[in-house]
Amino acid sequence: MTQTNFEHRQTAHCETGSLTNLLRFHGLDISEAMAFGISEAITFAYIPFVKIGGLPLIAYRRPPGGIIKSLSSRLGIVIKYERFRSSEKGMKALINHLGRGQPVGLQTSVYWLPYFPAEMRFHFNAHNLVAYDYSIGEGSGEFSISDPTFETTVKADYESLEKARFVKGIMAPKGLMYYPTSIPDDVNLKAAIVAAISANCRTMLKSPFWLVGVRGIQHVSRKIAKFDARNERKNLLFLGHMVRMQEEIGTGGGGFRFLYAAFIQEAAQILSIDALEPISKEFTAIGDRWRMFALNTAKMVKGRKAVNYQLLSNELAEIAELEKVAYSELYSLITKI
Amino acid sequence: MRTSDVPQDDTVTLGGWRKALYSVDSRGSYQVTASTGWEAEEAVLVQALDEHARLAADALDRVRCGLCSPIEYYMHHCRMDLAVLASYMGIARWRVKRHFKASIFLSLSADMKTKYSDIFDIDVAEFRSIIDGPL
Repeated sequence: MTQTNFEHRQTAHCETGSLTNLLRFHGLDISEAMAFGISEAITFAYIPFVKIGGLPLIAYRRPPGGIIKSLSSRLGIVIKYERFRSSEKGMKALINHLGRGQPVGLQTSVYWLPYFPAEMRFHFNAHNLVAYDYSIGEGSGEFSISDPTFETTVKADYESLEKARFVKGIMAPKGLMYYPTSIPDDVNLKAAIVAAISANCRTMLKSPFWLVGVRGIQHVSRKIAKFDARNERKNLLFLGHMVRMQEEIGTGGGGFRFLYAAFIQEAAQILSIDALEPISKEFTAIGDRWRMFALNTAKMVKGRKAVNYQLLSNELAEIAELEKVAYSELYSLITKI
Repeated sequence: MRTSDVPQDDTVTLGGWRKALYSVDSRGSYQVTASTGWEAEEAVLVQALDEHARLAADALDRVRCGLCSPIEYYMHHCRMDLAVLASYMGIARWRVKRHFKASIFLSLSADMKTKYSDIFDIDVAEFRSIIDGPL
């Protein structure tokens, strides 16, 4: 078995991380922040009719899979996706790829990945990682994995990875395996950055759907203000859930806002637009405010601070206002180009 | 967030791993910083885990009293909800809910029980032992 030389880099988010690590293997080196920005991944969405464990879907980034699709189409990269009806075929195809020294991205369920700390194992079916090697050891063999949310590469046994890839249910991966088949020699980053920022600003500011973007944040702010004090346990579960989506699931902090600030900073250099620098700082400040919201919520959950819905609601209203200003400035700046 | 403000709270839930956060260094440039965890983040994670544990403990009491089946207990024990379990089983939610009844559970086919036990990653015999006695 040949040893594939795969450079693992830890990133904040799994989808941007797997994609950038894969692309670098194929000779295209772009940062996680750049990938996040170009795929217009930042958002806010509150979807009360989709429930996870009885709690509404709250997202700070676009739905899983969207980052890969959007980035590849903006940069003219061709990604091949393979899904499988049978897990046996899916595992065989994976081993074949690895045998040819071809690392592949996989969609998996966090719950079945053996290297995840027990406390972090939840039924989330859209976790991305890169498998880059397979060795026949004891039993059915072992896979070498570059999971971008971990510091180093990890291992997974055949049975666990099979379960993680072929779990059923919401967002079932169906063994999804992906890899780039064609990357242009010179990608046009500048055009991609401008197009992505402008599209992203429109979503955040002008989405016709009132639960998405800045209006989505305002909606949740009003919802929290109206919480019934008698349902404290349920209310706190809602708030805790929101903070988990904001911080825990690999966002780089502040519900991806720091990651976006890093992208704007990098964009300022690539486009040579100094005026983008202060906007990057604005997003950093917005991320800090989200962190403050998380801290206050956590204190209330732990009983270290009196439960105060109005306080949290006001914080969100202020964040919405700050985001509105930042995206508006960004939009007017980028549309002038 | 400045690099010096990146929390390093050594949280147990990260299991010794460090996670990547984005922070601004002293020159104002963004960089990836490894964090040993944040207390606030851990608090809401523990809250979610406690909620599953609370529902599981509650179901276990009812299993022991013959008021519900082990399916309901294991569902919470494995951090699932009705929607997740039904989708893993590939059957309708109302059928899973029906299997929560102790009497219905006893009449389930061996195949069905095995399917459940595979999803919960346990031995079929454990359904019996959880009804009978203390763990």
